[in-house]
Amino acid sequence: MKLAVLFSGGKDSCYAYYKAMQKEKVVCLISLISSNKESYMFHTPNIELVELQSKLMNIPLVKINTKGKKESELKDLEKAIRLAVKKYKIEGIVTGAINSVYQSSRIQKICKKLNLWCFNPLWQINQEDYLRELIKNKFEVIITGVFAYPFDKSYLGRKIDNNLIKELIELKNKYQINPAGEGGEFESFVLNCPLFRKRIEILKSEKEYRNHSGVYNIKRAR
Amino acid sequence: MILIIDLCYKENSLSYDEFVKPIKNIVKDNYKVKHFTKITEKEIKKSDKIILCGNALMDFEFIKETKRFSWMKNYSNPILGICAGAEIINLIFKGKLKKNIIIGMKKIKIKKNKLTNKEELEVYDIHSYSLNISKDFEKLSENNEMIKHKEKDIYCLMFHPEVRNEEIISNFIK
Repeated sequence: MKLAVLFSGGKDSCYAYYKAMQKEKVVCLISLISSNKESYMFHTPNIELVELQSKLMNIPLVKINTKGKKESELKDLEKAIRLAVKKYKIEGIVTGAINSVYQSSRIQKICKKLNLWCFNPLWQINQEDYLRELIKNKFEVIITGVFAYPFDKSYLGRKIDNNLIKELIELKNKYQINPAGEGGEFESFVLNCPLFRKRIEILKSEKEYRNHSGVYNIKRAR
Repeated sequence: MILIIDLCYKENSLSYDEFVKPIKNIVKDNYKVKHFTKITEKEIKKSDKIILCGNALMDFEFIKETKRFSWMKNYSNPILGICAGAEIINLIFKGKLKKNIIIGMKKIKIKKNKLTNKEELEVYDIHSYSLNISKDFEKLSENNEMIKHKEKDIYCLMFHPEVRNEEIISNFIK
C-alpha cells in the first residue's frame, strides 16, 4: 500500500515513518507549515527544516502553508492530502498520534472522506517505553519547544537521553505531564535516525523563553 | 489463557500496533495473539476467554471471511468483541450491520453490568457501521454501543475500550 506520513520533523512523526516503512511503502511526507505558533493541530518550532530532513531521507515532501486557524487548518490539511493523492497516488496516511483523540479523530474524518486508510502506529503506546525505544533505535532527538510548567529554559536544545527520560518520568509523577510531550508540553526535532543519510549539524541557534514557554530556534543547519 | 484475535487486513500488519498491541498491554499476561486467518480449533478449545480486536476504518477483509468465525456459536466461555469484533459477533448470531460512520469521543448512558459499574461513559468511536442487533442479544446502552448475549457472557462494544476505558477490558479478563 502506498502511504504518506504527516510529518512535522519531531520524534513522533519521524518514528511513525520508521515503523510504517517496515510494513508498507511510504512514498512521500506531508508537512503543514503553520504560521500560528499556537496551532491546535500542528507542531510549529523549526517546521521549515522538514525540507532538509526529507532530503536526508531521500523522500519527496508535499508542503502547504497554513495560517493555523482552528478549523481552516483542517481544510489546509485536506488540501495537502488531496495533493499527495494526485501526485503520488497514495492510498493511506500515517500519523504519529499517541493519545490525542482530538488530533486523531480529525485526521480519521479527513481520511474517511477521501477514501484513504489511516494508520497510527504509536497509538496508545506506553510513553516511557516509547522514549527508550527511540534511543535504542538510534534516534537523536532534541527538545525545541517547551510550553508548560515546570519546563524551564534549560530544557531547550536538550537531547533526549536516559537522564532526560528519568527526569520526564519524575515530572510525570509529580505534575501529571505526558512524558512524551503529546499533551503539547514540549516539541522535539530529530537530528539523526536510521532513515537519515547523515546527521543534521546545527550551525546557529537561539533560545527564546518567558513564562514557562519557549522555543529553541535553529537558525542555520546542514 | 486469553486468546486475542487480530482482525486486521493481514497478519503482522501496520494496524497491529494500533489495534492489537494496546489490548495486549492491558491483558499483560497469560494470553496468546493470533490472526483470524490462523486460529486453530485446538487454540479455541484451550482458551478461557476470547477478545476480538478492532481494526482500521477502511478494513473490511474480516467481513469477507465470516465462515472462519462459525466456532463462536458453540463456544461457551466469555467473548469480548471490540468494534470489528462486535460486528463479526453480531453477524454470526444473525444480526445485521447498517452503514453509520461515527468518529470521535462521545458520552453514552449505560446499564451497569459485569464490565462496568458506571452509568455513563465517555467513549472513543471509530466505525463505519452500527449494529442492527441479533435477537439473541440485549442492549446495554443507547445506539447499541454495548450489547450482550441474553444467555452467554458474550459482549459487543462498538467503541474502543482501550482508549480511555481500559477498566472494561480489565474487568472482562478478571
